[in-house]
Amino acid sequence: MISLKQTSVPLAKRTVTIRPFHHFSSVLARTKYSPPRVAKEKVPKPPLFPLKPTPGLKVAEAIPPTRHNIECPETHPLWQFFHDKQFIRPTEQLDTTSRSWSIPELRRKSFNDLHSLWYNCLRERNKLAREIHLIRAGLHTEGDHFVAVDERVRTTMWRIRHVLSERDHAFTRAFMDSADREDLIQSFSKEFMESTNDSEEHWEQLKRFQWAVYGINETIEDNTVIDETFVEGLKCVANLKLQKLSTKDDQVKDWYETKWGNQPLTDIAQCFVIFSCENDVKATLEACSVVEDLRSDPTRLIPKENEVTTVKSYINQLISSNEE
Amino acid sequence: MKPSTVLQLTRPWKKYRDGTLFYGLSKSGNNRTALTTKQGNKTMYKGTRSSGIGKHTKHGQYVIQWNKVNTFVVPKFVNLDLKPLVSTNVPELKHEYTGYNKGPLDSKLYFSKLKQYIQQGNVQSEASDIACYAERG
Repeated sequence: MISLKQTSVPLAKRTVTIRPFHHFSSVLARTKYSPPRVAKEKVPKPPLFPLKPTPGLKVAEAIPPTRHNIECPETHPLWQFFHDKQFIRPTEQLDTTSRSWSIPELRRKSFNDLHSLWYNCLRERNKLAREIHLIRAGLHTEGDHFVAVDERVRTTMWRIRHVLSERDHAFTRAFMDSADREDLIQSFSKEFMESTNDSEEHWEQLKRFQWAVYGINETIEDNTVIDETFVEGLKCVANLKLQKLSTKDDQVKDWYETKWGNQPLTDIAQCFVIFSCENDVKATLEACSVVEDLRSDPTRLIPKENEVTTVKSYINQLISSNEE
Repeated sequence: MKPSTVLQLTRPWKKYRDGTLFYGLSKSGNNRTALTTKQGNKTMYKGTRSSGIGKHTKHGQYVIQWNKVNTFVVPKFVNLDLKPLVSTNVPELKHEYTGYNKGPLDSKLYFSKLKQYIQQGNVQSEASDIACYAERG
């Protein structure tokens, strides 16, 4: 046992009950030779704020918290929840006679129109919801006129969603069965080749065809989705263009029929060259010579699995060159 | 009259391994009212469709996964001429789908419209005339 009296340093002024197993090591740690404990110097904390105010500071007059002392900018976004900046509009200003949009009417609208109509409805419903809430809470009545208008606007909104889903279903149904699509492509190619009209109309038709069937936009920058359908369309359009020009000009015909054996182009790089050139003979002849270079070197053929990535890189190159 | 499907009838009947119902306390009673947040057993979580956009880390943080957060796309150019309601003086337009079995979903109709677009481009249809009240669709 260790008696506490042996240590010269007063352990504590309080009475200590010996708990040998608990305090054993701490008691052992100090002998009469060990240096005395030194209390840490207390560093005074700086005050949180200066005790004296900065010279020249004056206390302003108190601003009473009334409505007139608050300035609200005219363009504050929360004004969108108010009709003509009124607290609650009188019932005469409510559109109580009009009806909601009908489904056949909405079917005639473009996506952008439906999108903006949706947000116009939403803004109107925001205003109405605020007013209905205030009427219910403050007057303890149901704002029936407001609720009726709200219900009609809501009807317009579900009809917008209905029309959009209808369009989506029609699209998926139409392209689920590829036979109809093939028919459309075949009939268009036939018509396109047979059109003898010299005007630019058939080139316009080709543009609309590539947009309608393959989703290839005329302006290169707007093409964000590049997939297998895009590649397929690119090949189809390039071949149609080449065939059409070969009926118009003998030099192109010479390239297409005698040199390339009247076979449609299958390599994506060759197709892209033809696709991206202008729709006239001169540009096409230049493109044909580039294609001939590509055909002469079999190492430059692009394998099928790399087609999408290749087209993506080509289009990025085109966009960057256009920017310069 | 059609017999109701089995799935409709067995709505709260699904059980956990310990024998408790998936939600609800009993199978009897009116099951057709909407559940509130206060109903159901310990596993029933109704939510407000606003949570669950991230994950808790082991340090107690919450990391938001931005692909789970709702984004609202506003149209670039809002057409403010379109009002939420239509005047009752405007006659309602009707659509006729004679020859198309599936109505607006018919793929024959879809392709005929595509063909028309390719040939003529965006042209005004007859329904833009105010006097017209029945259209092909």
